[in-house]
Amino acid sequence: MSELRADTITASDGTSPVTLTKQEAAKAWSNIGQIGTQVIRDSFNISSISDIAVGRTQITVTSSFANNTYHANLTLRMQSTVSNAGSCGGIDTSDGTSSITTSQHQLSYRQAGGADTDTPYGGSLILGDLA
Amino acid sequence: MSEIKVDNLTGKTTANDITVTVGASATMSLEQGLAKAWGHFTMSSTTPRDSFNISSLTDDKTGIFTADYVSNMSSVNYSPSTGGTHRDAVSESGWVLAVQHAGSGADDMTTGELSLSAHNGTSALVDTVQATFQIFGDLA
Repeated sequence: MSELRADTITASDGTSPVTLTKQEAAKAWSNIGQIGTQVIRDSFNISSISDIAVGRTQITVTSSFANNTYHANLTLRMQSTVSNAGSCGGIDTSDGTSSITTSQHQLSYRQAGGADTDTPYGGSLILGDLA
Repeated sequence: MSEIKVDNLTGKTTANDITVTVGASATMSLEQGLAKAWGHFTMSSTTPRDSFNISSLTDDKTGIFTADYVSNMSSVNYSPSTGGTHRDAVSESGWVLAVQHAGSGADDMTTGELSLSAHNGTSALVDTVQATFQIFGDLA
């Protein structure tokens, strides 16, 4: 078995991205709470969040993406027999892409009945290319 | 193009800290970007179709499964994402798969396991035929 020890890995030209054979690393993820003052419990490549409205959080990344067509997946949360705040959600867009930029995206959470609702437990997972 | 073939990568200064170039100029932590667990299963069986870092699945009740990790997470603040399935005109669709909480916060998700619940459009718990999840964060 061989083992390579290094602190930094870059493509052979010294600047280009490294290719991970047949796999891709997540570029950002977060675990946030919206109840009361919104908080980031843990995150990667997230610089800040903003409380936009009930059930909504704008997330700003530290290193921006190369385009606004990256993939985003949300954490959904279910609590049986109660209001189920945060059981439905999506990336908030007014026309499909306008709320998603290379440095920001918005999370929008609702309860099962469809009303905008702050969730105690949310976040996102982002895959794509950084700038 | 050059290629390095190696079985293990370890940080020289800190074992779990390797910086990789991922954009034209952007760099990031390799360890932070790697999924620490994932699974693909149906709620009619406690044997996953495929998985990574999952030791077992438990059928808790209709629409609720618990997945146990082989290697535990370092805290309860990790980031889980899920995917359910939708079958047109079939009432048992588990079109929303979510992290299941018995309480009101994140305290019910532990470092060693995660409960997932599937429900339909009226919020009723249902066994879904296809459930997927991914876990990102730090291992202990």
